[in-house]
Amino acid sequence: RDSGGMAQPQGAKVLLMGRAGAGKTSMKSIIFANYLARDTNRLHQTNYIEHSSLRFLGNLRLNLWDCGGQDVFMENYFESQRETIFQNAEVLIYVLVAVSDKRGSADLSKSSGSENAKDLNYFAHAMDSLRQFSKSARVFCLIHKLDLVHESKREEVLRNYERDLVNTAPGVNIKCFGTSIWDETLFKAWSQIVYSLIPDINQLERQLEHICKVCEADEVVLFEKNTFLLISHSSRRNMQDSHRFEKISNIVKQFKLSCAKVKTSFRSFQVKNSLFAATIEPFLQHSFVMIVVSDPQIHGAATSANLWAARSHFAELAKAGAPFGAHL
Amino acid sequence: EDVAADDTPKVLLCGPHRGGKTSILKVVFQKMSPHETLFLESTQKAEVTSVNRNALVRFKVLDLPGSTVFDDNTDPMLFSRTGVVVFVIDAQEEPYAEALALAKKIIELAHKINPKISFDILIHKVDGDQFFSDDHKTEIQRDIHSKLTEELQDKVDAQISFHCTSIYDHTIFEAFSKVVQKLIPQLPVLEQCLDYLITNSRMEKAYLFDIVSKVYIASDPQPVDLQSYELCSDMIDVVIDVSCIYGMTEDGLALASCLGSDAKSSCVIHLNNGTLLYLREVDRCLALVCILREENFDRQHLLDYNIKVFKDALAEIFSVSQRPTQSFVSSGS
Repeated sequence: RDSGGMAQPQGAKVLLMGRAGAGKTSMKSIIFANYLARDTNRLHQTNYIEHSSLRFLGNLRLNLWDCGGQDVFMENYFESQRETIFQNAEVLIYVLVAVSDKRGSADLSKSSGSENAKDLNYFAHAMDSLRQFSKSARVFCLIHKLDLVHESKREEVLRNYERDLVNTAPGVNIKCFGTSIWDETLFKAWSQIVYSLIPDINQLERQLEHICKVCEADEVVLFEKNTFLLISHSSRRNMQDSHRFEKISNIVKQFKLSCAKVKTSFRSFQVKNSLFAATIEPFLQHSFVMIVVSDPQIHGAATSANLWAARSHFAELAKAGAPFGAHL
Repeated sequence: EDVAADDTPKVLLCGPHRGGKTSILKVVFQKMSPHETLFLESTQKAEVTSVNRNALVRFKVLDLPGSTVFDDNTDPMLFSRTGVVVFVIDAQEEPYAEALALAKKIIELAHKINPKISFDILIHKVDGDQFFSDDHKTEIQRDIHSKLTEELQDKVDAQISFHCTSIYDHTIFEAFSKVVQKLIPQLPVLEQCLDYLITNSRMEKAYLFDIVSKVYIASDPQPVDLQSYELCSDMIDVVIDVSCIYGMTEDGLALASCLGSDAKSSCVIHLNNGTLLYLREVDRCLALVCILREENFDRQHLLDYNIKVFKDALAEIFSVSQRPTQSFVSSGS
């Protein structure tokens, strides 16, 4: 993944694995709804892997390998098709369904849930294969349908899964998330996954910092246009709510659906009260910007003017060959 | 019951067992998610829910258990202070004969005691695959309408409206908007004010929403398009959710205060079809949501001035309402 100059990235290979019923398909449709450039090329008929090629941020390509989760396929992945599947992967996302262990914090791999044991088994195989063919791939585990677990037990269940997953592959950095399609946790997990694929994110963050300062804003946040996943942000003030970005993703996505019901879509919006003004509008070709200002002295027109200036600035940077500019 | 004794306008929620009365109440007025209503227990005794936002939106909903018997022993006070009776029929429980018989009994009894009561029949639970087609819904509504009016025709000349509803979409909110509107005696004045507002501000439509329940308590006389109502209702969600993230004071105001107390709350959403939505808080828990064409938003300052005039009119209506008046629902005469 070499983002040298203006070369178009080939695309990141993202493996999406998990047993049948884990929720991979609904997850995909929620995050990438109406945007799935479904590749009907089922490369290996016998493997039943669905390939989707998604464009994210314009130029970034996610080649999603959605590996069907039936047990018989899973066996297959780890035998005959191993190399094809696991080579050149940048990211592995493993999805499993959260199950409460009624006996408390017993070791899940020994619990009566043979389902859990199977998951861990497959995961272990996947990690093995990954180590062999794509050593530097990033690993994310989504402990999904967490809403089915009683609220009081969620933290505990999550910790248990994390412990067991990490133990199957010591030394590998595995990031675990508890997710549910019913709230913003899904957006948080996918934002992080996609964020890890964006080249030169540091440069982008520096530019956002600059915009934030010039606009005297509380924070400036960049979202991808279609998925509304968080790309990056810069804040000048401590915010109470650490889950606010995924909440915003969720809020906007919901409203997008409402607009779709009346056969339209929104272009921009602004919410304000006596304490703040938040503006969300298109930024560059593939991104939206949210700018939050709490200084009552700052007029909305000034913020708009600054955003215009920022846009041309980014356009200039892109022309001069800055890789991240091209992505936005 | 002392509930019947005070003169706050009342809504009576009645109907056969498991019709969905309590679920409706919880979803519309207590912000319960429709999925959670599956866990509600059967209502054993009459429950009162008080709604008290401001001088305009003040009423009580009396949720009567399905087992309530309505006959000559029924306390007339139950109906004498009631403005609206909402009867809930479970559309998924056929045949409707028994439910309609009960409705007829209640309507006759109520009308005898208080001829001013109006009735709303909710043909409820029209969700799920059975009721996918609009034709089916219309058919059922027509069927129930004709059966009921046939039975009542010569005896009762009450105002009866029919609605097909479900707690899983906006239809229940739309139906309850109509119910709540009947409890507001100032409604004609409000509608008149809204009419002036939209004419002078080149708006397409304006709704006065109760932010908490998202029923609209008034609208301009132009016909209401359910889809535009839904979009405006969803807009309120956006405003509340975003305000709760960025618009809280340092000490973290409680959600209820966050919802209603900021007089400068406003929102503009530009859509891609040439229209925009404009929301302005006009009083505690009351928001004006307007739909305008993009080109008519070019003089926002004038628009804001007109809205201020509307706000002042609203304040006057409030101050008049707060003066002691005779009881809203008078029995007889």
